[in-house]
Amino acid sequence: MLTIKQFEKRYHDAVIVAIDEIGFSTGVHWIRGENGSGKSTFFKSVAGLIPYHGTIQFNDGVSMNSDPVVFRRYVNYGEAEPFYPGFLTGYDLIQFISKSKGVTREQQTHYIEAFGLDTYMHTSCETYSTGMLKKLSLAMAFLGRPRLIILDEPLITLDNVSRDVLIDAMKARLKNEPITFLISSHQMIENDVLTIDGLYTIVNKTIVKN
Amino acid sequence: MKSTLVILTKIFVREFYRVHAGNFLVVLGFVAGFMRAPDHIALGESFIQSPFLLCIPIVIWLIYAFVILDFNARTSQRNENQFLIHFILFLPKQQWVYTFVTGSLQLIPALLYGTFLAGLSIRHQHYHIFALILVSLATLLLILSWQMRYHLLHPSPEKKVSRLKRWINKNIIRPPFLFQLEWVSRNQPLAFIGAKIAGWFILWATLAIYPTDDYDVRLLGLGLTIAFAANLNVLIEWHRFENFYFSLTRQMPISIINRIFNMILSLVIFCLPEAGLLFTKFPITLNFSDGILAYGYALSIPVLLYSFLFVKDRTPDKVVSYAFFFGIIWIIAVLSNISLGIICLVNISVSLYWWKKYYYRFEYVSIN
Repeated sequence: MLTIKQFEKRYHDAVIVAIDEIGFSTGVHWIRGENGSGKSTFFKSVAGLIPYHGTIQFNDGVSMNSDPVVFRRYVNYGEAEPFYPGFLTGYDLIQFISKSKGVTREQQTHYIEAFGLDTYMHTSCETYSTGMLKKLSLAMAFLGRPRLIILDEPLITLDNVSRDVLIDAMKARLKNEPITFLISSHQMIENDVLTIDGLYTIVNKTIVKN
Repeated sequence: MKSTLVILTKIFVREFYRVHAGNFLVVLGFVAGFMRAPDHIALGESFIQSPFLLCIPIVIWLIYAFVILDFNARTSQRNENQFLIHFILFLPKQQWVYTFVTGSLQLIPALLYGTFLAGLSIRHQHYHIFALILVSLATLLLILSWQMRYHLLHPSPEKKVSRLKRWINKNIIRPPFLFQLEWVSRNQPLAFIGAKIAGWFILWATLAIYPTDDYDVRLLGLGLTIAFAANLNVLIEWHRFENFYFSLTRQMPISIINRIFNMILSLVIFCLPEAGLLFTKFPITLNFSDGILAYGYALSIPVLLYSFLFVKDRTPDKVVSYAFFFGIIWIIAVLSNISLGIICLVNISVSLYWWKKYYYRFEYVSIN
């Protein structure tokens, strides 16, 4: 369970997202909102990429403010439009994350093969298409033993096969461990494809449960 | 026709001068601040004395043209400029006119100085020099126009990966502490090489003074201060890489101490040329322990400058002015005979404080 209290993210004087209190239990939580509503900014804040005001913590007390290193071990993030330095290969990136998060070789191989990255794993990112970058980003988001996986627009630029791989990967993790997925998507996710445990909308710069 | 020129001017000319505004200001400050009109004329007259001496401004124009060529190549390949593919629809004559005018506007500083030198050469009846100036500038303009036209007509060149690079990618896993160095060397090669050359020569010159008289460690301290502070531009780019372009590192569960350790490790590799010079040409009049302390002090300078970048998202110009202030303090401290070890300790302590206090609070807002 992830709890967010008195959260506020602002740039200069403009509030982007403000939340009094919200909790995300294990399962899939879908956050919707118009373009520019602050979804990505909210996700980046929760992932620890950008600063914010407020409290974000798991139910065992591990919080972003007091345990920034442990918290980051528990949170993975797949961005909407991934961008990586062109000279790095997918394998360099996977190794970088694996060393930081203590990922086993078996798990690396599993996700590399599942997302079909093996054919271009040792090629530099500058040669990747948008879809290839997206699949790499998604595979990296599943590495380690996170309690929370944030997937910002996970379905864009994905072909149908990769979309099925992603859904299967999410289902497998949900089945085997207590994990929370926070996702945003403009595309419809049918309940028979993936069970959505919570549906939220960003309205008036705050997140409201539907 | 006018609207097309306006677009090309906005994309290639205005942006070029905006991106390099800092460099132009430095040159302008130097030219207008330190030299009077008679000095300029005297310098110009010395350049036009012979074709050999004229090579000096021609080489400078050439370097300037390379900067423009690099900028134009990168700009024409940016995603937001893909609409320029429609340039192909213009008649070849129009294409040449557009690129010629745009190139001329980018080359204005060289053209103005060239006109000044051409005027001097006519006054002194050095017509062969006048012809050389004319041919040099016309050639540069032609190259610029041709290159811009080529890039506008071939907007999406296929990414080619050399066989050697493919081999490296397949067989070598890059260690994370080399990521930032590779990024800076690829994205800011001039700053990277410039910092190395400047630092190396300053240190070499400092060490060369020692055999001429009886100097203590303060001279070395002064040299190291300037040589290692010269890495500032590289550090700014390095910081942007780690905290903006590759912000994934911020999401990794790495402690502050480990982050600082990785930074110092990268820095030690980056400063290997200076370290090699320091220890191979180390003055025999100084103790070796002084050398170790001096090297520690030298490394603490970029560590502090890098840590300072976390305090607030400042523009590079503002960072430079603060770095100048730190430089003055370091120089005063060294001249006051404060031990280099103590200054090193202060630098590291302040760095640790800044990292701990500001790392998680920092965000690049200005780049967004």
